[in-house]
This record gives sequence, C-alpha cells and structure tokens, in this order.
Amino acid sequence: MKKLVSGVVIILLFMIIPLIVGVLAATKSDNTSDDYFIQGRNMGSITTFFTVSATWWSAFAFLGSNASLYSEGPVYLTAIGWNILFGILYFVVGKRVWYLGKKFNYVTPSDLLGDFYDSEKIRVVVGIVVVVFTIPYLQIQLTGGAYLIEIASGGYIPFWLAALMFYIVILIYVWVGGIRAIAWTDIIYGAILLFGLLFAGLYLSNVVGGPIAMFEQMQAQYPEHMVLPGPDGNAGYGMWISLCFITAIGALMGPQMWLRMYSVKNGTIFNLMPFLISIIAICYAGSLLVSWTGVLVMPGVENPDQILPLLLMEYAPFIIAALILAAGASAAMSTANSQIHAVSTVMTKDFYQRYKNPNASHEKLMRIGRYYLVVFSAIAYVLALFAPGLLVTVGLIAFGGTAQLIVPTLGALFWKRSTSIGALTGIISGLFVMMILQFTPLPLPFGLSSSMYGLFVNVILFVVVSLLTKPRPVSVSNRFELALKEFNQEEHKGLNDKKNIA
Amino acid sequence: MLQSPIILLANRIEPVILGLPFFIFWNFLWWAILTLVMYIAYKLNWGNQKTE
Repeated sequence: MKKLVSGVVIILLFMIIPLIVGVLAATKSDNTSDDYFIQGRNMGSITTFFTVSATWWSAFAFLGSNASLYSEGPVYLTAIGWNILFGILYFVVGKRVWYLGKKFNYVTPSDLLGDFYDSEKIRVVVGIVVVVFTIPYLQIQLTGGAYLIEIASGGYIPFWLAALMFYIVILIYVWVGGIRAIAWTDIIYGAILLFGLLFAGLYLSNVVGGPIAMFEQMQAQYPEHMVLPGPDGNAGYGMWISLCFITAIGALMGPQMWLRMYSVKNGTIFNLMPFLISIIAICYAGSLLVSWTGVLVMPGVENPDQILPLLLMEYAPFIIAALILAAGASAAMSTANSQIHAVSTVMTKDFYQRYKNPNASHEKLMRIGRYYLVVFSAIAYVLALFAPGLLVTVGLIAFGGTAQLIVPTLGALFWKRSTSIGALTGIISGLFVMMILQFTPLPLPFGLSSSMYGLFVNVILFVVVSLLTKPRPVSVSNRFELALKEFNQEEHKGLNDKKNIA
Repeated sequence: MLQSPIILLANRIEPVILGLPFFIFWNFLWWAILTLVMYIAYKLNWGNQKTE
C-alpha cells in the first residue's frame, strides 16, 4: 500500500509541475496569435534546444528503442546516425526555413510551400499530409505514456484513466500558454528523459554484473543478437539505413518541428544544434544496456514494448522504477503536447483562416486554435483506447508520410527550377507507393522500408515532372531567389565581421 | 562510416575493445568523432556556410 501511495504521489507531482509551469508561461504571453502559435519568433537558445530534443525524443525512442534492441538485435543503434543527420538537417533546412519564415511571415509548413510553389493545391495537400500523418504518431505517444503511468502507479491508475489524465493536463497548459508553455515544460521533460534513460541502463545492467559483464554473457549465450541482421535475420542493413533516413527526415518535416524552426529568435542556435543533438545520442547507450540485460534475464517477453517497465518492476526499488517510468511518460508527453499544438495550429491557420475566415482577429484565431486542440486530443484519446499498435511500426508509417515533404522543401530552398506540378506529383505518388507497399504483401527488394521506396519515387517524379512543366512565374521565383541570396549574404557578412574582430 | 555499407565490415563481435563488442565499439567511436566534428564545425562557424 505504501508503495502504491508513493507511486501515485510521484505521478501526481509529475502532472502538477507542468501545470504550474504552463500557467507561469501564460503570464508572459502578450495575447497575440503569433505568440500563441510560434512565441512571436522570440524563443531563446536553451528553450529551443530542449523543446526540439524533447519533442524529437518520443515514446518511440524511449520504449521503442528498448523493444527493438531487445527483439531485433542492434539495428536500432542506427539511431546514432539519425540523430546526427537530424541535427545537420535542422541546421541546413531549418535555418533557411526560419529565415524565410521571418521574412515572409510564415507560421505553418503550408505557408512556405504553398507560397513558394504559388499553389493552393500544394497548400491543401501539405496541410492534409501533416495532419493525417501526425495523428498516428500522436496516438502512439498516448498509448506509450498512459501505459507507463499505469505501471508506475502499480496498476492503481488504470490505462483509460492514465490516458485521460495525460490529456487533461496537456490540454490545460497548452490551452493557456500555447507554444511557450510547451517549450518551458519541455525543458523539465527533456532533462528527466535524457537522464532517466541513461540511468536506467546503468542501473539495470548491474543486475548481471555491469555493462562489460553483460556484453560477455551476451557473447557467450546470444552471439547472433549482437550483430546485424539480428536473431530473426530480419533487421539487416536495409532496415538500418531506412530507419536512419526516414526517422530523421520524417521527424524534421513534422509540423511540430516546422513550428520550432519558425519560433527561434536568433539564427546562431541553428549552428550549435547539430552538436547538441549529437551529444544526446549517447543516451541510446542506456537503451542498449536495458534491453540486452533484458535478453539475458528475461528472455521471450510477449510484448517487447514492455521490456523496460517489466525489468524495472522486477529489479529496481519501487521509487526508482516509478521515477524512470515517469521519465518515459515525459518522453511521450513532451512529444504529444507539441503535436496537439502543431496540428491545431495547422488546422487554424491553413484551413480556418485561409478558407473560412481570412480576416479573423487574434482572439478569434486563438479561440479556434484551442477548439481544435480539444478536438484532436479527443480523437487521439479514442485512438489510444481502441487502436493500440506496435510503437515502432506505427511510428515508421507516420514518419514515412511526413518524410515525403522533404522533397518539395529542398526543392524550394535549393532548386529554382522546381514546379508546383512536380511537387504535387512527387508527394502524391510517393505516398501512394508507400501505402501500396506497406499494406500489400509485395516484396521489398534489398530490405529497404516502404517509405524509402516512396521517397525514391517522389524524388524521381519531382525532378522529371518539374523539368517537363512550365517554370514558376518569374515574380514568385525572383522573390524567393532574392530572399535566399540575402540569406547567404548575411551568413557571409556575419563571418566576415567575426574575422575582422579576430 | 555509420550509414554506408562500410558498417557491414564492422558488423562483428570480435575483437572486443574496452569490453565492448566491436560493432558497439565502432558505433560509439564514430558517435564520439562525429560529435567532435559538429563541435568544431560550430566553432568555425561552418566554414563559409555553404555546407551543401
């Protein structure tokens, strides 16, 4: 009983702190819709780092990493590569998106792509893609998070109630504080999550005598588990490379990341980001230790997504277990909050303001944004209750969908000749190919994932169709070319100033 | 080194280095190197910024 009480106290604390932070953040708001959606493009460096990384490290990373390393061998270690890739992309793509956003006052992905390609169709398609493919990803966060809370409370808080609490807390602080509240709570979540994972790994590997002893025992008992393609032979190089590209690109192109490019105050944070994001990849060492210890002491668990909570409940004191599980819930919550906010932003700006009420006031926009907030949380709640899925599988489909947007985005930033019909054909056929390959038993050559094939088709059609169609109107392309030229000049100027000082 | 097919050459348990199986060691070694590279790149302000 004492155990249960302490577990529940930890959970409650975990729920109350973000509420307080959220309300505090709300007091800093200046009550404009720009402030609510993108913090008036005024987000500081530390906040940016934590909200990007906490949003980026989701339940997919916290539970999914352990599940994958536990059942498929080392393929999830490709995460080191995707963190670095994500960091570099955030710098290369993100900084340009940030600059254009500031210059032309963009808030959503559709704003930039629709404007660049000068096409309403692109605007709508991009809006639909980001909303549709964010929902499954949101659902896995809720499932993962609620499940952890259920276990951390010793079953005292049932799944449906845990998920409901989860939603209500997120709803309240996002409602009052917008993106600033999310970013502030993400600082707390981010710190708990990164330390929690590493700590769990070091702690649990002591069960078998520490990390080195763990590797020795693995080598003696399960050598096939320590190299690609893993114990079942399914997780080889094709999967290694698919996971890396799709995860990094898909996450970068999610609407929550776009908002986190527009919100940034100062461009220099983009230069530092690849380094910071790379550093935190070391936390996957925690997952590796957890899951391979699991292989040794707890083989054959029915649902591998549960391996971390199961190990903790078996081998760690209850308080430590509850704290680490709360860290896991942080991972889920910090992604879910940003996604709910981002999806409602897209709905408000791209659909409501654009097509229903272009002259809506700030108050009206915020009210509509909050209304969508409630709607989407409700959808995700229902999905979490009735459609549980394997975290990594559902996650890959969601990432595969948003990843398709990288093609027109890179086109917008680096290729003058890209056209709207090229972009549309690319996105739609990319998604089509991905879906066909995903849901029919067609063979996938080279073990690459369906979304990789979608991406290939997307790139090829984008280039070919763009070259075959008429170039974009000169007025639009000139405006962008000029802006990107200015961007490059400013970057050089900054550099020259620095040289002069030195 | 992490994503090209070169990784397949590192895909082995022996030799065990510092107690780590070779594949694990290889991944974290490159993690350390690349993280350092990112830091240097930041310090040098990413060269002339034309990273592509």
